Amino acid sequence: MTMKQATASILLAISGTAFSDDSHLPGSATFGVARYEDINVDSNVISSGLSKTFALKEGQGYETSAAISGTKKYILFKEPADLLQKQLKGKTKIEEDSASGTFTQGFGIGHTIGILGGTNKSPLSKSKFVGLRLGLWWLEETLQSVIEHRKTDLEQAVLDFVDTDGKRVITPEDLDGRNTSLTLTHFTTPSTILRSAYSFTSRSDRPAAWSASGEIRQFIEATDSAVHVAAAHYENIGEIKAKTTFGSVISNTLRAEWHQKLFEKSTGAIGYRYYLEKEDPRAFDAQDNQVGTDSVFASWRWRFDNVAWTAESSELSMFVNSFRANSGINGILVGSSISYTF
Amino acid sequence: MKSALAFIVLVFTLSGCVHPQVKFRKTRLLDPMMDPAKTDGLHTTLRNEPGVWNERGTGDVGGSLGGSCPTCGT
Repeated sequence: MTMKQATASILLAISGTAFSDDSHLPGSATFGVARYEDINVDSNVISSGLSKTFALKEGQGYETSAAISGTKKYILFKEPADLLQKQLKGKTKIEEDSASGTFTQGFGIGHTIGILGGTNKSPLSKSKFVGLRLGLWWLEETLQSVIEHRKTDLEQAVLDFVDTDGKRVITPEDLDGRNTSLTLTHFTTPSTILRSAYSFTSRSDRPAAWSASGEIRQFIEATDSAVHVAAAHYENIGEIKAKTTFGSVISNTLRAEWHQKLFEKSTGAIGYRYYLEKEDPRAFDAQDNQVGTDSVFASWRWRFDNVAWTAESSELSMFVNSFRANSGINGILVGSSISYTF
Repeated sequence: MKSALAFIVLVFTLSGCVHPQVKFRKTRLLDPMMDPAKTDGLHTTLRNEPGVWNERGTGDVGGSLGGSCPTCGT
């Protein structure tokens, strides 16, 4: 089974070459592997994807593009907590499969409409989503807006336990949720990009959640570098009923990255991310839970083709990311991916 | 409250519009260090997964029932 899945992933990535044509419209096939480890969990990931743009209708801005991707994860829970043990039904090793796809049609320069869908399956849960995405350009093609709506249906392993306040908590087997997001990207100057996003999620077992985020990307001519600075705020507060395992949550994230061109064909990046989450449990006698995580990462990308920086190129990338949480959980994520552009 | 924040986000972005209009083709949109489509890949997806790092407010916003990540778009 393992070999079969891995082979299928590789074949999916390689099959992209079969779609190569003379239209010079971009297409790419990607394949990646990664591993995450901390004191609680080991996770090995295989990921592959294929995307291609076609010209089904003549005219600039009327391109059609399609993309599919699949991910397989092998997860080992080293010492699962009581609730997780119940969900796992005695297992410690599980596999998670997910797949997603998008189909996008242009209707004028910068304007696109697309449909998307996907599934995710593991012994802990099974979900599927469908969605619609609309992308529009404004202000002489300097402001891009993307509105997306998704509907997700999920089945999960049921939990039935008595909480610290003596109340019986029973999680539902079936859940559904809807998410709407708006992302704005503004090309402020030839070397500055501003991005902001707002997202609203409603779901049947918990109060609605929302988030807002902003990011600045600045190119620095003198050093041939780019700086990215981002911040995000998330809230999932309101009445927490006895059908969910955690309480209301508020979190804030800050992130800063430095991207540097190296030699003729490669770029390196280093970054830092700080995450702070406060959870107010449903049970009145339980203590508030606060999670703070420092995360440092580095990545390196090497472009195979000797083309201009602005041109598409096949490339190899590698990354390492360390996480240090105040709970004592220190994790490390390493991985590599390769993409073939045709 | 939510509407007010949505308005702030909108104003924040539109505030950049006072600059002289520049066609996006002249920007560094396609530069691999600036283009979100190129900087966001497997690493971005994995580092934003809330289930692995015990963080509930990152990644796909709202856990398994959320939508795209507001930061990385995946």
